[in-house]
Amino acid sequence: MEGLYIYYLAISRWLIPLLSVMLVFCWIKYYRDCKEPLKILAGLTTSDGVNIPITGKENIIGRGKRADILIPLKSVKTKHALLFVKGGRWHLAPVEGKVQINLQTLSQPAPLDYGDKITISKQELTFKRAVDSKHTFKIPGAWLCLLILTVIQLLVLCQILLRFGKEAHLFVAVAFALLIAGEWLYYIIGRLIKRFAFIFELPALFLITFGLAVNCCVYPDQLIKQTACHLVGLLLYLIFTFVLRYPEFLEKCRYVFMAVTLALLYYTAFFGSILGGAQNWLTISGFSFQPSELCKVAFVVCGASSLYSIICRPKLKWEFFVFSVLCLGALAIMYDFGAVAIFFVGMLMVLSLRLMHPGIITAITGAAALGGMSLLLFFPHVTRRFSVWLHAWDFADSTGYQQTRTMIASASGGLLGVGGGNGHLAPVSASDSDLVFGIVSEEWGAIIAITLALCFAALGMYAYRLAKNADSAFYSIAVLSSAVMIIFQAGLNIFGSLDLLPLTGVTLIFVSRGGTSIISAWLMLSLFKAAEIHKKEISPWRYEE
Amino acid sequence: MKWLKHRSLIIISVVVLFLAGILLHSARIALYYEDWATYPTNKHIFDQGLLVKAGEITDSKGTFLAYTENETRKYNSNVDIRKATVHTVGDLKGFVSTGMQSAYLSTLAGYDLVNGVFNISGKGNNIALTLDSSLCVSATKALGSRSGTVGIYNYKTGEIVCIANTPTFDPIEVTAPRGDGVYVNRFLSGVYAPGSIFKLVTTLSALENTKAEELCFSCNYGVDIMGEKLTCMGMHGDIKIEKALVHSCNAFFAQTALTLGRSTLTKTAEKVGFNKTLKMDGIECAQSKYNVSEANDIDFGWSGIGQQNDLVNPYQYLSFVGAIANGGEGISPFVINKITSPKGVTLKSSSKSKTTLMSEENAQKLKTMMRSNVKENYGDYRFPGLEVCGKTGTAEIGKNATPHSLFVGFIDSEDKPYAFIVVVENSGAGSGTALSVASKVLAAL
Repeated sequence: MEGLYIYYLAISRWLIPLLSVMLVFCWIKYYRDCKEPLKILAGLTTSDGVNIPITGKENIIGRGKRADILIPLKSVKTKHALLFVKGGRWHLAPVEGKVQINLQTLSQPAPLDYGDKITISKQELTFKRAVDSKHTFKIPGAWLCLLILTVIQLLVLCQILLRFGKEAHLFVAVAFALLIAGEWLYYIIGRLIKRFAFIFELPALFLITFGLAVNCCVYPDQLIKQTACHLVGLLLYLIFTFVLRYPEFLEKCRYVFMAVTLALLYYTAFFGSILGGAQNWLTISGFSFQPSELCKVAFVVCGASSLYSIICRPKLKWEFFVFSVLCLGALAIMYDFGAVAIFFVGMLMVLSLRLMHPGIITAITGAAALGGMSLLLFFPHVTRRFSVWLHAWDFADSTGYQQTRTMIASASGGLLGVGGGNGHLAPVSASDSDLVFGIVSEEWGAIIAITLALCFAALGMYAYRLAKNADSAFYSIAVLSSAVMIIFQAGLNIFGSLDLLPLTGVTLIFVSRGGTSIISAWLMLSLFKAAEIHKKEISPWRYEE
Repeated sequence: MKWLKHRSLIIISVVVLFLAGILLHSARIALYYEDWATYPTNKHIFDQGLLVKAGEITDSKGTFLAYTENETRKYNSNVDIRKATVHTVGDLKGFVSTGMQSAYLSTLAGYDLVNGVFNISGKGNNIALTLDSSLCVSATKALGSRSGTVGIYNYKTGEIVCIANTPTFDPIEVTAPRGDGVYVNRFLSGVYAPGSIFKLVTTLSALENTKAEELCFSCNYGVDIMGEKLTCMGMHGDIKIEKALVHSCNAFFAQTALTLGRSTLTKTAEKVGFNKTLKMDGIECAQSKYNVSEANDIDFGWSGIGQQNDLVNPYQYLSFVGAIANGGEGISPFVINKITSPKGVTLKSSSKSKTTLMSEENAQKLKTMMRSNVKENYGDYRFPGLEVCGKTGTAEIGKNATPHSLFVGFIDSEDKPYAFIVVVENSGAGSGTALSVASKVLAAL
């Protein structure tokens, strides 16, 4: 057995990184193939017969350079009016100037139909149905990517089984079987649904695969619990994707969301239990969980639902801002500074997306920086954490212990790794959560570790595409802010463990050990899915006469 | 929509920052991977700070100097061999930083960037040294209780057959940091005031830049320069270069230096390896120093006879002497014969690196002078059966300290083409201690 394992390891440690690199290229090709050509949704015709195509679902009509429909007349205001889709219908709303539909002056947003005449500062425009709106785009299949991923998973599984032999946890094969069966079932069902792509699922599944591998090799006693969390996460993902189809409903419930989020956070801050440094755990009838993880999703949804409507009142921005600051306060009381940073970045993203003046953003950032500095003055233990930053080797056996061990591990693995279960990082505290990048680097090699990191970048790229093409700003805000939070968290984890950033003790999504963080990650992904599939056809207000 | 698209670019900048971080990490790995992987807490290679996983180190006859068996690092069973080779082999904690077990740790551990510490056999790479461990033992014994170093190499091939250092220690005993220099490989990392052995450099410079045979200076127990007396051991009267080297006349060489000038002498010194960092198998040696740019005439005069602030590194000076022996062509001395994988595949074998340090004609002249020096001054009876060419040095190192005793030279022979350097600290005249150490060691060749 020993001999067989060694030879298998010698081959598979080349094959797995090789296939992973192939998977990266296959995914990039698939990602490009999935790009839909720009679709003209409607058109405006001037009295001179000039056609203005409309490609977005939120259009500013005006004279400014940010205007989507530019009318270069002096009498037209910079941001004169808005032409947008809401509830599957076109609407027109006045902003800074006067608008008329069929010679009736609007005082508030009104539905618009094809054939209607819009008057903007004596300029008459006819709203028209797009001629070529009936083209169809078929999303290509991702079976090749999925096949490569499955081969990687099988190679990893075999390596783990051979490595541990009879000592292997009975559930190892079951967990991998569930993963492989689950992903294929999901893919096949997905192919039957219109508008269902498989883009962000691949990086997520790649992360899950190596999370599972680390789980099997380093802390196999938690295998059943981790798998259960994934299943719960998947279930919630499906439910939440469905709920997210109704942003109007979420908008109405947002106060409930906010109240629950704040109640949960403050309850934890004052009555939570301390596990591993931060007081961010809540135990209900034997189950321990981290409310701050779940609140990340609630936070994003609150932000998106408060601010998605383009004609939202300025008051709402401040409503969300106050809510954010309250969240940050609770997290600071918990000493969970990693989460503070993540929420703060999420807040900045939401606020920047919604017409917030850059000056205000700068002011908020500056205030936060000042607050952070004073924090360092008042909490010496935080200062200590920062003092080791970038000097981990000078404190290799004290405060820099975790970081230096991670660096040693990542160098020991080389490009190809020493094989699952053969690393020496596991006994270091928090190795399976905060330092998991080191475990992956050591046991599976730098190529796999870097591919894992690229998965987060892939989520970010896809978020950009989704946000650009989203049907409603709700999805743009939700997807972008959750992507920013995911990438920022990944950066804090990876670079923190390698001493490029201060070590804050946050998890690497889907790879680290952790129940609540897995469920929260699935919920974050449901925002992506919802944005991807939510593209209702635009129906006319009344039929053409 | 334009607005939203515009602001969406924030995510792209976040992604770019993240990727930059990954790039930075990769760059750091590429730069520091060896340092990180060979850190003494790495359990792949060390066990509680002691080296465990490493290949075999053998001498030129295949004697095991160090090897790993049953997850423990072992040394040769003979304590004399252990003590005589520890500075080249290295200890288990990395105190001897120029030892193979430190400087070649990643090679010995079988570590590389692609494979990491993984190796299908679970063993590290092997290093075969050019050392002759029994010769090292003889040299260590000859040095005895005095501090010093002996280096011997084959000037035709470059193979170093002997590096001995005292004081030394037994590597199987658990070691702790010590301040007495016991962990220093003096042959590589030591620098010494050269004393009269430096006159070889001055002679070479004279041969190259003047009509050396015509040079004639007077010596009256020294010479007056700038109103100060530069002392000499003898009253040599009017003396020429050949006699001057044999009698080691300070007055002659000080005046030769003044005749040559600062830049000429510096140029010659730098050509033969002064003010340069030389490397033995990639391991950096301490620099030999010759700097007279700010010296006045009397100090410059002293520098011409190896005093003042002249410093010599034994490895550098040995390679210079080897070049004289080899007709001007210097073969860089090396100690690694070859590196093999656990399965015996040669990963790296020694390669000769040649530099011409002087013309064959001048090398021959120096050789003749050094030969007559041994014949006339020390006597061939000190080296039975060997034609030895050499030059001793007695380096003054301060008013109250006993001078260092130095002896450099080579055997002029096809069968035994060895050049040697002996430095014995605080032991008086070079013709005394250093010469007798050399005579004992060369007898063991």
